[in-house]
Amino acid sequence: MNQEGKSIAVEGDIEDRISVLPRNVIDSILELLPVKDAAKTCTLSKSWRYVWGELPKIVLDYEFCDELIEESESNFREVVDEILLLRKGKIVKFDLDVRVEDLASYTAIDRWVLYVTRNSVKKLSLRISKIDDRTYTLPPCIFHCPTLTQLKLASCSFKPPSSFRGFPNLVTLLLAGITFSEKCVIKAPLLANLTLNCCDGIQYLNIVSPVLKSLYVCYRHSYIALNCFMNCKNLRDFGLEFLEVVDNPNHDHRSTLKNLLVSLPALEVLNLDSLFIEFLSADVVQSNGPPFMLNCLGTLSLTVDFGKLDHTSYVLQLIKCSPNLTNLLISVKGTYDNAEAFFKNLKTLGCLQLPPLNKIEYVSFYGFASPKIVLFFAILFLSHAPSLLRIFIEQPIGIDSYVDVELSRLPKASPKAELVCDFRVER
Amino acid sequence: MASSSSSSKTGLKKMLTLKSSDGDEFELEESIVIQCQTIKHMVEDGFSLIPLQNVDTKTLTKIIEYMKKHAEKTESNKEEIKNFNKEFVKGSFDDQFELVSAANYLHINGLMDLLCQSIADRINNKSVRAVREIFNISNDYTPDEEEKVRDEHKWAHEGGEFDESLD
Repeated sequence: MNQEGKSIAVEGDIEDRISVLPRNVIDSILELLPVKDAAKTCTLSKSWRYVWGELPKIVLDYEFCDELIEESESNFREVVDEILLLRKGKIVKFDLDVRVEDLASYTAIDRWVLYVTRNSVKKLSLRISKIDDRTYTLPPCIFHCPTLTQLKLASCSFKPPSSFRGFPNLVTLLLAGITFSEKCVIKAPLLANLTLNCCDGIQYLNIVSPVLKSLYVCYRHSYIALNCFMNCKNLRDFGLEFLEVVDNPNHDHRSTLKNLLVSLPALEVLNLDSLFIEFLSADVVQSNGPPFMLNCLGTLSLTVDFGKLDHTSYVLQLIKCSPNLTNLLISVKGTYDNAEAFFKNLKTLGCLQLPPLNKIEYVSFYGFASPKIVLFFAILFLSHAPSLLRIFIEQPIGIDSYVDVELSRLPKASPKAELVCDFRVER
Repeated sequence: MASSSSSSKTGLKKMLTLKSSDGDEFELEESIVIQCQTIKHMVEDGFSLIPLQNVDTKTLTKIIEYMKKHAEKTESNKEEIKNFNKEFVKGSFDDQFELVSAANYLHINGLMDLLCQSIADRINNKSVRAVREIFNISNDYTPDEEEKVRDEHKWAHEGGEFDESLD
């Protein structure tokens, strides 16, 4: 630490790195540093004086804000004010993730959001944890900011003013933990990626997004609202997840989901958790299978309860109606593990007559439930999939790998198929 | 294992020659080299000998090592690639600065991201003095000026110990 002087007084002919590295590289490095470290670079030398202040991205993460708030919330507001005032040039991205306790901070956040929207912000991300019962209400300027291409909002109150005409340039929208209690129309003609994470009142939401490519919805309550996505013919990537167990899914929910899948001809990636398999399987006459074909589907990711026969047979039906499936991922639930009875039942139902699964390359099983049934499925794929490259099975540490032994003896449809067992500590 | 299957077909593949600033030539399969956007555009324009005036032999050798490994990337060797990346960024700061400049010039996005992250991780929480040495920056502020700049973002210099080491 005390060798100073010598190395600081660098000879004049050695070039400063900042002139060696291109500015975009310096920017990329600074953007990966925590705010404090990035800000400190202003003190390095005169040529670094404004480098940080000209970065087009401002990311104020939870850790940064929390450290300042611990000192005092007014100090936090002052610092963010300073950061924004000293900013030179465009603000392309502004992220703020904070838990405040003082209502004056809500006013300050309004001020910052107004500032960045006036500076043509493109990517805006806000996560504002609420004060007691008072949720932070988004200021109107957000709804009138035409430059936005990416908007991520969590734990805010989202109430567009009556003058709201939509987001003309928005490509990515993420809404998390937001409650909708009245009708809300969002016109987003360029929207390609939409995530709705644990929002309430989705039935009030009408998102007009004709070019939507990716849709992920994680529900908190049993009201499944998907009607506004019926016309998204370009949807490629679709996922549904459920946070809690639902008592009695009603018929409307089932038919909505089924109709949606019928109307998605371009689907390439599908993620469903077990509740949705329950919805879908409930109506199906087993031998007929689903009333749709998923001709473009390449990746299918499912949470399956092997204890429920109708789920399992539906999963096999889904695989049958996806002729181009290459990648199958199954998270296993449930405790049922009687492989013989299981096999008999499936056979009786006629589910085991699979066509050759010509395109399947990767099959993965996650979770430790029902190991014998997992093994049974692994055998099924080994014997039916001529292009199979790998079967992956997650297993608890400490259990003898019976899977390895049993599978290695079996005839394989694909000469290249390998078996990978990943041993993990049970969760 | 993946390399044996690809090299068996080498005879059919189109080859390209990269020439470093020191004049050394490296012959490589086109499929490996097109990870690099700059070269990809030149290939599209019909070049098969590609002179790289801004990249010396030492740096080019490393970059080829990276491109070869990443051309082998499949679903099943993610872990292997991750370990390779970890080893790849272990060099000195000087090496990393050379590499990042070259990756930027050649437009190899994955390598750029990898190196920027590695450099950022290594200067994270360093003292101003340590960063000056690492970047070879001579401080041309007078003490008064430096104090003034420091005051502008006082919050950035408060709290916690900063790391004075240079590695």
